[in-house]
Amino acid sequence: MMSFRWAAVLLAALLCAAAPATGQGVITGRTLTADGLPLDGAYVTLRARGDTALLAAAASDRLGRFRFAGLAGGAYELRASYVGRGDAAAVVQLGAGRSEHVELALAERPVELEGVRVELQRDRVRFETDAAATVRELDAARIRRTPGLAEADVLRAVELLPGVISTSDYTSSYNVRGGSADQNLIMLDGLPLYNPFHLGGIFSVFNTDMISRAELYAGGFPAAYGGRVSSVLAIESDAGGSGRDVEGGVSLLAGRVALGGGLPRPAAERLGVQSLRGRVSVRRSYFDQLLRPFFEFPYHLTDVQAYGEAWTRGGARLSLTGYTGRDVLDLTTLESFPLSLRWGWGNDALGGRLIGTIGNGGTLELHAGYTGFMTDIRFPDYEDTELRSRIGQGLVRADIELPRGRGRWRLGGEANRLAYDNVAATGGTVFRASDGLAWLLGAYAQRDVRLGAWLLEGGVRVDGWLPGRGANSLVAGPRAAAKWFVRDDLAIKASAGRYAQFVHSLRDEELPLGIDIWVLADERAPHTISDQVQIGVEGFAGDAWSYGVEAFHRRFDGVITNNLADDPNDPLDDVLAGDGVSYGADLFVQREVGRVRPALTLSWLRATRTFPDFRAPDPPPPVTYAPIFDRRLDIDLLVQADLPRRVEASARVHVGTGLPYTRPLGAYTYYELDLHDGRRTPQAPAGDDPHAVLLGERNAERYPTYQRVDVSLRRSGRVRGAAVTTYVEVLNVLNRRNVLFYFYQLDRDPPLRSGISMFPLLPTLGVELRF
Amino acid sequence: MTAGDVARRRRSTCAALVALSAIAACELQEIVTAQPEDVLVAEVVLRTGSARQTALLQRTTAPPGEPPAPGATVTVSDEQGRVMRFEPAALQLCLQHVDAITRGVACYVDAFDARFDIEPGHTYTLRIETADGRVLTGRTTTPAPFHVVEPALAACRAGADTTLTLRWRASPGAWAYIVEARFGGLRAALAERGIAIDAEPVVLSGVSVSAADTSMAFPGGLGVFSRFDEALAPALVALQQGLPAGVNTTIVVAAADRNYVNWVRGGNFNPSGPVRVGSIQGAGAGVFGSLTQAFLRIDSRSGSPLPDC
Repeated sequence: MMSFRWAAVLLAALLCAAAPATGQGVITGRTLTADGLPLDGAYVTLRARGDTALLAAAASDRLGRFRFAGLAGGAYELRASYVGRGDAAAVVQLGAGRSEHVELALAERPVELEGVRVELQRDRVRFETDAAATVRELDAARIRRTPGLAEADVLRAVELLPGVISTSDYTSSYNVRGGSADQNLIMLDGLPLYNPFHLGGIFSVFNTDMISRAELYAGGFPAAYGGRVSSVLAIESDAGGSGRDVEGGVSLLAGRVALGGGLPRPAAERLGVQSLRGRVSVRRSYFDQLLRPFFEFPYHLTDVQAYGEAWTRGGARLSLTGYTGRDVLDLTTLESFPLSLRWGWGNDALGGRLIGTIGNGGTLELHAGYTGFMTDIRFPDYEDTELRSRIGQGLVRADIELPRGRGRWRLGGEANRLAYDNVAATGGTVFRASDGLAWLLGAYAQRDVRLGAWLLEGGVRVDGWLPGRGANSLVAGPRAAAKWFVRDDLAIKASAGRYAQFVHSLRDEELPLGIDIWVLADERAPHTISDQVQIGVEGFAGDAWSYGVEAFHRRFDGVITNNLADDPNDPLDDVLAGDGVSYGADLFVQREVGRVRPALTLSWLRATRTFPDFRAPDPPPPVTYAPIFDRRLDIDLLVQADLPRRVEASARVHVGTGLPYTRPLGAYTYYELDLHDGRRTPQAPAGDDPHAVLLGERNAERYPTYQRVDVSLRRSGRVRGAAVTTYVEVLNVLNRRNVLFYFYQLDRDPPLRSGISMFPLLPTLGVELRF
Repeated sequence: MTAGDVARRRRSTCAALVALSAIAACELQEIVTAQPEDVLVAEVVLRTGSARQTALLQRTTAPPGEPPAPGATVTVSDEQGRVMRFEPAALQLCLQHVDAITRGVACYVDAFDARFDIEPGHTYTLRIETADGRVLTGRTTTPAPFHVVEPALAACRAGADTTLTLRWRASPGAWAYIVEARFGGLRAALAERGIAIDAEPVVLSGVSVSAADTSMAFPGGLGVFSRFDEALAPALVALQQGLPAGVNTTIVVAAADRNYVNWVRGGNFNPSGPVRVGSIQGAGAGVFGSLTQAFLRIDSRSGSPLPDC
């Protein structure tokens, strides 16, 4: 509650104090491509003419616009840059209290390996314009260079960011600052994806060829984002360049191809737009086809992703995103498996965005879409069996950004309709079933303003939750932040806020693989409220290094877990409500330019969860324990280097203290009662030990320290006009046996402990092509 | 849902996990670990309509052949203060197979001179005292009486390849109904269709969850947790078409209390083995549950003298 009050006080003070600046000049402008289309994401710097000192920097927004306010009259030099393009510069003579507009065109200039510089530039812009958010950005180049599993994976790259931990090699799911995995909002072009994983979590659904960039908000995320309490990962698609392009690759996992192109300008204009371009990609695993002559391999995955965008003659940007993906495990033709089944799961998403200008330099963004996830197991021999889970969300939202004085207003609202349906039924009885629908209505207002050395942000988000069953809820989430610039390149910041979440996944995160089963907050499950405070320092050293350290405290009220001792006669007790606490600190130091680019992250965390102990007799007492993602110390060192002969090398060293587990205290024989004669029989296949275990204190033990070193080598070249990159990656070079599970065999004399490790030394290779 | 069904289901889950792990994982070296804690585990499940009540005691540290709790007294009391005393007995009275015992286990049966009938809808209290001073207690309330309404007769004849609906009155207090069917003659009946079964009689179980779920398709609703069992899978698919001719089936429908249901369905995942939610308090673990039972028989043999179902 302290953070809530603190945020509310700061918010009120900010809204009262932040008067618009008067009598000072403003420079606005746009960055454009050579053929006059707006170019978003360009880095624009402002200097007084004849002076090398940087006055301000900005990234052009999604309409290619930038704005520098609060300027005294005088001559200024503007310079814009963008990866793969040349620079553009202009000199502006600004009269006192006047406003000037300038357009900067950047011609294409094929260059490579500059993505890291863009990241640094964006980081610098955020440093100067965001007070609250803890954001780290990954662009496509960096994602590709990060050692992954079989092929580049944005979610594997996210694991290297500060505050992020992964609980096993097998999952690309992640946890941020003591939040559970279902508290991460993962979005593709603004569309949430509910289970963005293939093969139970080993790979993400995101095809790197289609990604422009990914931004992780690990804390203090703006009021515009609702629906999750731990983090936001915003992945943006790449519409490609102005010409045609073909991109593809083959890895040990899958083959993929992405085609991009656009209409010639006259053709686009005939359609009423200035330009129209897009890309579509298909990815499919191939083992089922490759191995078919030898044996049936029953699994395959498929992704299809499309992204297109058009610029209107009025400078508005219209984009459309579509994604569909399926994993299929088909055991209907596998004679060696006793039960015929076909298991499919995947996401579908379709959405459109329109971004245009309003008012005096303002932006209006309209967004509509649908996203859904389903998993369904079918048994052709058994009509009485239904195992399925579905969740869908339709959304419309509007966001407005209005520059005012030395800051801006951000306002918005959204309406979401969510529905879910989970069934586990067989043999004529329903083991678990729940469904429901709800409306989530949200509105927010946020104001940020720069006052001298202070950057202040305040806002409030109000979420109304209207479930089909249960009471309606209204949650007001104030958010406030302040950043004090000690120097141009060093700042201290603090922020606080309240966040709300109305969906939960029932997946047991202690299992390394699994599929999310989503439920909505309603009469059986509460919504989650999280109050969060963070304070930190961030800065830059020279032109190459950036660093930051941030401490945080989070409370999570209304988290849930499965009640494995629920009363089947009570339809509302199948989940247990609890709460959680986490605190810790993250540190990062990185060099983002140069031939050798090290990045070090260090995350310290303490997390707990408290739930009624369903294992205890009635009434269940509360039990507090460390959740599986309570990795106390997590250290990641990533070194990327450009070597001669167009070779890029990456090495990742990952060390983490052991994760918690529950140790069995003893084992006993597991008997089945025969109802006909009242006698018991040990239940186990011949040769197995038919035992059950008695557990000790929950998650009181720790696995050994996790250590892994991965290396990656990528070599680029050209073959018959195509850019060809071959890569070799070796995961766990030192073949460290990191523990996945321990198995205790307590009936043996002497008692033994064995187990299963995570990845051993695992080499992979692949090739990428680009025409 | 019987303990075995749950065990099989959990083993399948574990096997799938381990199989996936094995794609890229390695087994860790076995090392000697600390001795297990010495815990006394009691399994006492009262059954209405049963001529004998049994109690099974194990100890996590007792090797085979070693009594887990020598000198222990086991008693069950009812609400009127009557005391049912259990006395040590041959293992064969508690266990169907005594040749596969891997731990010290002791069987107790209700003493001839200190027993009473277990009644539906009554509350009973368990107390176990060991010679070394451990006391284990438990409490169960047997589900209320109920009876099968469909088929209307307790014993009847079904036509070949017939699917019936078993239906019974609700038993307030029940958390689930466990239906266990023992099929005699199924091996010969299915052999005609080219389906082999290893052993007879075949015992299959089904479950109806909650007191209000009072029906089950027969025989298709049975064996739901055995569908992954390679030896039984073809037979279970065949039973979806109805009860073959030539099969004599005895059926127990048991309304199970909270404690029994929690014990057999288990708790959260642990890679070292299944975990059960117990109902014993004090210096030990285990279950003190109860079943209220109904019985019937369905015969599909052509010469059966039973009336039609």
